[in-house]
Amino acid sequence: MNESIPASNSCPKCGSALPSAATGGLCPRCLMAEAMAPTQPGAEAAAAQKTLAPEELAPHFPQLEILECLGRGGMGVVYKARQKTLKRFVALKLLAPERVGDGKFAERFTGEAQALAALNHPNIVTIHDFGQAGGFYFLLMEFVDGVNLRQLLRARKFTPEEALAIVPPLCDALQFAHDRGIVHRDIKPENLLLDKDGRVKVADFGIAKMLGSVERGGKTGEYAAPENATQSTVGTPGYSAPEQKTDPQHVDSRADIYSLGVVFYEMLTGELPGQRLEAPSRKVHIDIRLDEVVLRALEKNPELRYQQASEIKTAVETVAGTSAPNSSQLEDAQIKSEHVRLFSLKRRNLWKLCAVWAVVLALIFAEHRAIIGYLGMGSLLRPDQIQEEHSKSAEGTGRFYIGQTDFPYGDSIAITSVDRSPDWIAVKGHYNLASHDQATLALYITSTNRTTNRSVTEDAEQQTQIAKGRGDFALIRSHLVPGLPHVAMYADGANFADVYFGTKAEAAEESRMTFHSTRSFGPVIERTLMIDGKECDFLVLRTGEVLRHSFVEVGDLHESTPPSAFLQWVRENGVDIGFCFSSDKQYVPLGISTFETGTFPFPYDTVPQSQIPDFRSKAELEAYSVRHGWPLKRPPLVGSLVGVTNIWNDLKAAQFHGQSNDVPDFFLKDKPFAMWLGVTNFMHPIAFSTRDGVEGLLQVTGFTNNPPSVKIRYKLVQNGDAPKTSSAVGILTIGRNPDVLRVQLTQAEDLVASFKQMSEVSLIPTAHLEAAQDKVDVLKAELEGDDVRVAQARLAAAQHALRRVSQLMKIGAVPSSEAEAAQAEVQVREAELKAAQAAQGGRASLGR
Amino acid sequence: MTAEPTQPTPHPPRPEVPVEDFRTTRWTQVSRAKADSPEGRRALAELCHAYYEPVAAFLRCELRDGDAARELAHDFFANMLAGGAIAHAEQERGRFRSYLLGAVKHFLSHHREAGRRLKRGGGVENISLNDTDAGEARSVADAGVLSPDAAFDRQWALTVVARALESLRSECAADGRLEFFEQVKPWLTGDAARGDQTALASSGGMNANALKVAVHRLKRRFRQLLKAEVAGTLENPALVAAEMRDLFAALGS
Repeated sequence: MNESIPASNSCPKCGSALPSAATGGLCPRCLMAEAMAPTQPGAEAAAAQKTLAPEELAPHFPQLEILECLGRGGMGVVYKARQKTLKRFVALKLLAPERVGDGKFAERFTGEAQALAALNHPNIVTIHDFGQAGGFYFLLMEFVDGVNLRQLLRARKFTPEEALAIVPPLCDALQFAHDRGIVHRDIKPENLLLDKDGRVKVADFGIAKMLGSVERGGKTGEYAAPENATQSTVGTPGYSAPEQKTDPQHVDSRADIYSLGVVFYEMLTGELPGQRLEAPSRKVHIDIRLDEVVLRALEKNPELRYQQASEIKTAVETVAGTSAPNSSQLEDAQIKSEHVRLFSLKRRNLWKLCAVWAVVLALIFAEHRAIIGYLGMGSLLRPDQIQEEHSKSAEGTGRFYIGQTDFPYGDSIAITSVDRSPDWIAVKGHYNLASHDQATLALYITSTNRTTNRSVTEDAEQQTQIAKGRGDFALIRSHLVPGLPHVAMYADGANFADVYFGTKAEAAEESRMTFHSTRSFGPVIERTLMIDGKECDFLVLRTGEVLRHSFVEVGDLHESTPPSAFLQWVRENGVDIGFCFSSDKQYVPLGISTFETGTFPFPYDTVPQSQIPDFRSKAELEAYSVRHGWPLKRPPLVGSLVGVTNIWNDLKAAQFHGQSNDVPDFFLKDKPFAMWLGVTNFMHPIAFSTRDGVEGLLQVTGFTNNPPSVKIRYKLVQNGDAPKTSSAVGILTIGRNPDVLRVQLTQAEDLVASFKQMSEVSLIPTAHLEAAQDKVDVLKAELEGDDVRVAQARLAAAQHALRRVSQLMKIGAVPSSEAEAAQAEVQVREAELKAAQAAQGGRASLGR
Repeated sequence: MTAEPTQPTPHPPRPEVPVEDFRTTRWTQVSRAKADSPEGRRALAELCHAYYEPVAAFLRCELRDGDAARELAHDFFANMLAGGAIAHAEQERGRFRSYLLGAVKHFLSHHREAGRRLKRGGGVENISLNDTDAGEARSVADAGVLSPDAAFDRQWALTVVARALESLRSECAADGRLEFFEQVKPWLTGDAARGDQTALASSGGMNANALKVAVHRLKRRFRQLLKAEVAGTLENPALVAAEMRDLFAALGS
């Protein structure tokens, strides 16, 4: 039966997600792997000839009764036999016919076989004897009357309990061998046997090393012949640890740990871990504590994996053994200690972890306090989707987040113990207060009001005043309400450091909707914005108002200066986001555009609008359109934003820094909106901020026709309950986050530097350089937080712009309307400056 | 054989000479010739024609704009074939892949647009969600996660494998064994795709052993073609194994 791999899925064999259309539906990676794989030089001959019949073998093994051929593996042929004297069944494995006569091989074979023969363990297939006979090297092994794991996997998926039952004895076997310096190097389901009593046995220990030319590993092609660049040195694709390919000379027992992780994963989910590693609990209904075990075993970096197989066994047994929440801490102790180790990893490694598990952001992040708040980021999802995700993780219980969390300005909170009962909760730890002279430390509980989608924090019963420096704390609260407990530092009316702890279920439940820190999100707002080619809807983020304006066409977008009238309208109305059709020639606020201007590619009008679901991903969109026979030829483009000064990439975990508790990390990732939304994350939330400092998340959730529209969902970062306000004349600096500003400043300074270089060789007009320098000045002023300075900088920028435009107008390069607009801008900035000076004067008079 | 760089096709021309020789001489010719010999130019043209995709992938990653990448790729090849860049071939240790990547980078640095795009808001660019031309090769997922160099190498590896497979397919077709190829090709990815050999054997009128032999021969031929394809981009065919390992690593990252 042909198994062709669908074009956009991952290969079931090796897990890679490479396109396969050009290779006839076959996975390119597997094709290449297979072509590079060694064929035992005898294998082709063997394929062409019949396998040696038992009778032919008999003379070479007089002490055995050769019964039947059991099969052929990558390493050799296996026969079932019976020892005549002992009357027991054995397995006779014949290897490497071409190596007979090779003295070095003989030496190595003997050494390895002796070491293997000393591996006497109930879960390891025992070697009884070895040697050379009949033109082969042979191994005489224990006969296992049963099946191998591959056969079982093919037959059915394992239940988690079954998988959990198999792993500990496997760990025992591995640990036993590792303790004796033997690494398997080729752990895979074919090598794991289960006998009729259900006992697990690992076969072919060390054979990989025996046959492989590991000593001559490397990239320089020193192999005897390319044919013999044995697959065994790199293990089996899909199961072998990364270092088996990249650094074969430094492969150690931890490679087996990785392979065990792969097998574990496959047992649980039925699939190999792919390029984008999804936690098993995302695929099947299992205890999410298992995710950690599997994940850690699958760490690409051996240093980060479990270092001993016995650790895996302990972890697995603990998960299997404990199931109730609030179980005694003793039972949790081992998991906790695993936890501490896991989360005392540098954040960067954690983020790398998350980069691998991009899809499980919500779950992974639930583990680490610093990101709990960001769960809300990633899930501008429909409520029923959130329900679905929550129910998947419902098993996770009894887990507390122990460890230290550091905050941007030098503060830290470390939780050392948590005690809970139904009536009270007690937490102890250490703190370091650096950013304030005094603060309040307290224990809060925060939950989400489902109606308003706002977060509600229950006041602490007990508040501790702390002074700058280090100290210990012990907090207890007895009046428990449902929600997520957290220890927080609080000063000047602002919450600047926060550690959440609680069970995973609580975190999954609550922190999806909340963002805890000095900022929180406002409610999720849904809008449908029309995107007719002539007129478009534009959204004012602060007020939620939607205005309509006609679309403007300009020349080459690269050099375009937005038409002044439109810009003025944008500024006057505070418009932030619009969706329009665009092509390279057209002026694009946030655009959903197609390659053909004015053509909407989705014939939605044949399906009632109410029946069109929201698409969560481009894949869903495509699948839906294929099902309905829509000619999805030209998917939409996303364009750029007006009034928005920066837009950052979405929650691609690879982008995360993990630096700040204060803002979503992706706000710090200074990436202009030149991202490759590409094939995978069409509908992901996008983080953005506007020129007035409004920040938020936005998600495109769907399209409709009649009239052509874009459906979006968004929420804005807010302080407290009141949305930020900003008007042309008014408060200029509205608490814009310094980290964000710093990053923007760096970007602006880089731009100035490159402009300087280019203007020296006259590659760009000096006007650009001046404008860029003005921007730097504005940002610097904003960083200082001085309203007056900001206003001055903005006024200066406007005046420079006016001067440039006037000169251009004099030579007839721009129409007078441009000059008028520039003049208007100057007037606006002058007014702002006056207001700022007045405000500052007022504050001064209040004696602040 | 007129190779038009602006219309790449994935299908190699039917060779008049044995496949191995034909490919092996191309890069060797080019790099040794280093001059305006007609053979050298033609060989270079064919190489460029064949390996257009990796360049396009690299530029897409760098420029993050499908249209601009395409245009620039065309410019690049036009420039190269007009005699632009053969001169520094010797520095690249005899690998066309390295050479081509270096040439693209060189070309790109000269053509970077000044001042980025000064649009309102500053620095925002149109990006494309999906390149709509030429199907699958362009929809390598997540170019944002791969570095441009990695994208180039990955696409190169894909191109190599695809071309080798296509050669095999052409050979089988020429021998009237196209149906056999289509049925047997899953075996090329290894045993796991085996399915039921016996059933296939009996339906094809072969006994099981004969089928095994045929499968092995097909695998062997594929391996030869793949190596030949790789060797064609190397000056020293003895370095094929190392290059193949690098390409495999590029696929696996």
